Formats: sequence, C-alpha cells, structure tokens
Amino acid sequence: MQTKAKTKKQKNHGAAYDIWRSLRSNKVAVVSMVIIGIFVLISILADVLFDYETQVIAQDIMNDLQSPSKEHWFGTDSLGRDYFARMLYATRITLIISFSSVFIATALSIVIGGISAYFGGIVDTIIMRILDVFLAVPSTLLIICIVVALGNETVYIILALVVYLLPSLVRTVRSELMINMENEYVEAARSVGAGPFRIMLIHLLPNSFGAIMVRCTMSFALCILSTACIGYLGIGVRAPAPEWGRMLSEAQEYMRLHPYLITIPGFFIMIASTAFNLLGDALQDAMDPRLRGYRKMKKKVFARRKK
Amino acid sequence: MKKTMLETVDLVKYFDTKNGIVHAVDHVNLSIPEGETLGVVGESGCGKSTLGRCILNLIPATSGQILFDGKNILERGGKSKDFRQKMQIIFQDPYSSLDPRQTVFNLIAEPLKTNRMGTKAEMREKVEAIMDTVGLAPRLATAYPHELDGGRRQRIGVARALVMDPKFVVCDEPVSALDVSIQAQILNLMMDVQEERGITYMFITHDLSVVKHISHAIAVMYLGEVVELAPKEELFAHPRHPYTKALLSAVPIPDPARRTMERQLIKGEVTSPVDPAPGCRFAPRCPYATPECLSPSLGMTEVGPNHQIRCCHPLD
Repeated sequence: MQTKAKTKKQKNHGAAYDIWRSLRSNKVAVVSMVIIGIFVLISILADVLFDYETQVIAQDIMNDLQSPSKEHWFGTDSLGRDYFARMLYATRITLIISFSSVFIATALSIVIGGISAYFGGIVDTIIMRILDVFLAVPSTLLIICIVVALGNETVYIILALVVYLLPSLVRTVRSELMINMENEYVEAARSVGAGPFRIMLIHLLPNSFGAIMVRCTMSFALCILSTACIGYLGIGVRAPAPEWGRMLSEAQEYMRLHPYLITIPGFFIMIASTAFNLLGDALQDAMDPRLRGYRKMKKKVFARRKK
Repeated sequence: MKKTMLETVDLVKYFDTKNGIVHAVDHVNLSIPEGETLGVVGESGCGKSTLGRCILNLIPATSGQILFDGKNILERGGKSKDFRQKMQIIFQDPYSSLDPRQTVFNLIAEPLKTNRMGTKAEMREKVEAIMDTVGLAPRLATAYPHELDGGRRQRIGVARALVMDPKFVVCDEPVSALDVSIQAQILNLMMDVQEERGITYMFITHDLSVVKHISHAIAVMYLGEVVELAPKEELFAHPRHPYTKALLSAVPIPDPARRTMERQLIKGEVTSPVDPAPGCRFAPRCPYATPECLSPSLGMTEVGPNHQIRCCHPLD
C-alpha cells in the first residue's frame, strides 16, 4: 500500500511526474532521451565552441580533405573547413527547422482538427477535402515545389514542412477526438454542465494526447529526413551553411578515399530519426495510465516464473 | 400530500432516421413526489434511457413539458446551468463514464469546477465530505479510475451526482454493470442518501428485483409508451396490463419448489418503434388482443388509486 509520503509526492508532481517515472523505467526511452539530449546540447554549444564566420564557413583550401586528427576531430572537407564544427552547426540548423515545423504544425492541427471534429458536418467535409488535395501530391514533390517557388530561406523550408506535416496531423487529431467524443464520460461531463471548451481541453485533448504526441515525435523524424532530403538535392538550407543532407551530397565525390565524410552525416541522420521514433513509442506507453507500470509488472511475473 | 418534484407533460422524443420516425419517447406523463423513487422498467430499446436523458435535457425533447419544481425547464432553452445543478444523472457503465485521465478527486470535483462553486479549499472540503458519504477512503483521492473495481467506480459516479447537492437524480441502470453483491451495496447507499437528504430518484432499469427493492412507484414502458403506472406493492400484487404480467412472470424465482410453475411468456419479437401502428403497441404480441385494441384513441385509464394502464382489456 502507498505510504503517506508517497501520496504527497504524487500530489505535488501530478500527471507529468507519473509520465516521467514511467519513461525513466523504460530503457529504450532513456537511451533515446539521452541521444536527443546530446543533440540539443550540441545545438546549444555549437555557438560557444566554434565561431561561425571563421571556423564553419571560412574556406582553407590548403588544408582540404585532411583525415581526422587532434585539431580536426572529423577531418576537413573539400574546402578545408573543419568537419566537426560543421557537423555541430548542421545539427543545430536541422533541430531548429524540425522543432519549429513540428511545433507550428501541431498547434495548427489541434485547432483545425478540433474545429473539424467538434462541428462536424459541412465544416468537417470542407476542411478534410482541402487537406486531401495536399495529401494527393507526393510529399517530397510538395516540399520541393514550395521551396523552389518561394526560395530556400529557412522560413520557407519550415513552411514547406508544416504544409507537409499538417494533413496527417490534422487527421490524427480529428480522428482521436472523434473516437473520444463517443465516450460516455463526455456525456457525463455535459450532464454536470461542462461547456465545449472544458470538454475539449480537460477531457478530449488529454485523452488524445498520447496519439498526438506519438505523431509529433514521428513528425520530428520525418522533418529531419525531409530536411536532409532537400539538402541532398541541393535546394535545402542555403550554402555555405552546413546541413546534413548537403554534406552527404558534397561528400559523395570523395566517398572512396574519405569514407568518413559521408558516414558521419549519414550516421547522425539515422541516429536522430531513430531516437525520435523510439521516444514517440515510449511516450505513448507512458501517457496511458492503463499501461503505466505494465513493464514492471511483466518483469515481476517473469521473475516469479523463473523461481 | 407531498409536493411534486418532477413532472413530465406529454413528453415526446422522435428520432428522424432514414427509415422513418423512431418513436423513442411517446407522450409520456409521469410525476414523481419529492423524496420518492420512481422505477422505470422495460426491455432494451423501449426508450427508458432516452426518457432519462430527455428529462436532463442531454437530448433535446421534440415536444412536451418537463416541470421541475413547478417550472418548465425546456422553456429556457440553452440556459440550463442553474437547473443542471439540481438535477444529476448516474450512468450505467462506471467504466466508460469516468474519464480515465482524471484522478478520483478531479472526477468528483468536476461538477463544482464547471459551476464555479466556491474556492479551492471549499471544494476540497466538499469532495472529502462526499467521499466519506459514499464510502470512498480518502487515500483514493489521487487514484485513477482504472485502479479501482466496479463498485468503487460506481461510488465515484454516485459521488459526482451528489456533490452538487441535487434535488433530483436520474439513475440510468446504475447497478446493471455490477456484481450482485456490489449491486446491493450501491442500492443501499443510494437509499441511505435518499433518506438523509430527501433526494428524488428516477430509477431506470430492466431488473425487476432491483426496482422492487428501491422504488415507491413503478412505470412500465413498452416501445416508447408508458403502459402501466402504479405504486410498487400494487403493481407486483395486481398487474393489470398483460405486458406487465408477462414481465413479472419472467422474473426468476429462487425457489426450487416452484420450479414447475407455469410461466406466461410473450411470443414474438418487439415490433419496430419506427412509425408504429396506431393503438396498443403491444397488441401484436398480446394474447388478449382484439380488433378494438388498434383504435387510435387508446389512452391511459385509471383502474385503481394511483394505478393507470394503457389497455382496453385490463386483467383482473
């Protein structure tokens, strides 16, 4: 049984504490969080460790294509720029783009999906048909079109990614809300006088949060991949700014002699997208109070069986 | 003579569907005196839950009046918050009617929060008091509903309904999802609360033994209509409507000696509530039916003190 102190602790921390506790006991989640944490740290420290003008984009042709050494941990690229500094800056740029796109797209999708689910009928039909138009265009093509049409400023890349993410996010939000609206607790809330805003914010959104969060983290992975993709095609973040995809394509020429130039950005892309996907999965388990503690229980049962 | 707490006058709820109009609640006239319990029984789909939801204005009624404490609540349209504090509902399924992401405390406090009743400290006090009343231990305040069994969950449902200090509570099959032993606990709890606070109940159920336990008067519904309305003892002792008689004879009797007793069973299926034929809706299944049963002028007739039926061939 629960001790009094424990009960108090839970009271202070609320639901967020429970989610955190559950995440902490999940090894995959911890590893993903550590990796994402490192990426975030890199993005913050990039500015402190290296000077953008002199160390990241300044060319030094005399020192091109050096192998990794004490001065240049990842060697230098074909223009003699320190590859390590460029990797750190690239991480920062990718994370900023991904985070902004996911944040804006999620906020918009909650509003649009909420309107669509709550009002239904003709409003819902109009919104969904408009989004269908975007879904009908192949996603990569859609991003390329927007970036080519508007220019490859960071803002437009973010806009392109938001447009790309929005249809699937809105659909997720809408369907989750609609499923939860069927639940009797919505009627129960209405019977005690709760208005549409309260039902939406207190009951529907928290119950749909798991699915939305999972979509969000997966969207993060999609953003990272899409940014790299358009970077690789040469229409992404504008040169000379470093970007994973662009670095991949630039390193392609020197793949035989300097394989680390292509391996390192590839590895970063893979690790980052995998970490976000796995964290999304773990979050889903942690958010659902019914699944909370399930893993521990499973462990206990297995331990007992072994005995 | 006790004053009437709730009265419905020609309450009608029709659902417009592709196949026609479903007569879910058809000209229902009921009245419940203060502090008493009216049991509403009938088989699945006879409109008893719809009736309960109409009375609480959770589904807008098609026509008719609902007089709560003498005032027609349907007149006020959307401005329903003030009477909603006095009228509450206990739901059938304690599993789906509680938001899984709210703690027990938040669930019980929700009616107070939505109606902005008092400060945080006052709310906490009220919730703690009501948890004590319904027999929930204070340590459960931080628990989530999935951690509790059905009986405790339904106690939360009862607490939610009672925390606003209502005058009238619709109980929509509140015990049919529970074990028999826990059913008794919840029923006794509800009766205790009624005695203490003088609450009026409308108790919707299909379980006649439950209704016998808790009700003062009983209304039997068939396909959206009330077919018999009588005080409890009278109804169980002298059912006058053939449908009521058949219902009563279908109740299992826990007595092996009476195992061989003849049962009067109804034949056939429930006819459709979509655009029903005029006259008695039970006529197609009724063993006593005659052509005059289909005359459209059939209404409720008084056959005894407070005893009304809708039938042209009342039983003796």
